[in-house]
Amino acid sequence: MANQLEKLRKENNLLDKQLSKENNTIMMDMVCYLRSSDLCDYDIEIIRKELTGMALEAQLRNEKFSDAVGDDYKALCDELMKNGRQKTLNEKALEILYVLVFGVGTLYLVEILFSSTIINIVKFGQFTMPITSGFLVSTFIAVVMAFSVYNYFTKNSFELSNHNRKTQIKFIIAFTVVWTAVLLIRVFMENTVLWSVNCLYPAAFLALAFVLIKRLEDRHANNLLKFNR
Amino acid sequence: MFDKSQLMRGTLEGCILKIISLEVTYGYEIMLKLTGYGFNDIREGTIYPLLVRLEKKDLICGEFKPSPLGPSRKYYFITKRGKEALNSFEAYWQSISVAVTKILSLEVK
Repeated sequence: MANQLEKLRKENNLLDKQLSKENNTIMMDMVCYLRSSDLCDYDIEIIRKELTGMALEAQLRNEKFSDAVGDDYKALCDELMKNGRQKTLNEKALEILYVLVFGVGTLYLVEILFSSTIINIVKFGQFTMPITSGFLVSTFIAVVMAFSVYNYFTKNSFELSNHNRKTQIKFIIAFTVVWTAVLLIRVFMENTVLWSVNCLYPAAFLALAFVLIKRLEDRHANNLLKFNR
Repeated sequence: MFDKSQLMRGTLEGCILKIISLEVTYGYEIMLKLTGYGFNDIREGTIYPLLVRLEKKDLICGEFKPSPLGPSRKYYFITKRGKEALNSFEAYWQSISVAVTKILSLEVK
């Protein structure tokens, strides 16, 4: 069964295309900011659909979006965050697990493809993969970094869209420094092998975990849709 | 200066429930009705969070329907719990409005 949340997202993406450039930027900032909240994803998409509808109707009336909802978009989002349905502990855990499994899975795949493991597989048919402390530390930093960047971007979407040059430069520098550090840790701790595993086992575990979490998320989203209809 | 936001929120919620109880309607139309009855400075952005709140409390429920203007609109219906909440709001409003009017009409000695 297809994920109803994805369907709603696609519908909203199509609606976005009808927005004027100015309204599209406002909507992007608002949705981005709403994602920093504890509102559940399905409700965020419903809010997005309704706000986009308001913006489109305002366009058709030759009005500005601010005429319809006021010009303090952040305050409107704060009100919506306060009044909307909050994520349950299970929903939060599922969301974090999804991102975690996806992130670690991607980094694991990169590790296989860009290390000696791929050569061993192709040349010798051996699936043994050394797990180095460099890989573990750099993966940990990368995942923490990804969560932090996501939180920073969503919480400061309005400020960031003002194209503050100083903030942009600071961000680029910080981003470069952290990723260089991750890369250096990975390279310099290359030989600190902790243990060796058959690379197929963690891959199978991660793929299984991903499918399971995705199914649970889909089922939850579809249940919410039935409940809201 | 008197902070009117708290008073407005409770009052508006009751008025929105009343409007929705009379007919199935949508955000922009509710806003027009409220301004028509004298609630100035009301925008869709003012009432939308209240609609979300009322829906969360299961006092109203919404359904998307196509609109003649293009994008589908969310039309709101009052629920059984909403009707009960409206009745209690009306009764409470009658009692406090009489009391508040009496107090405000007192002459300063």
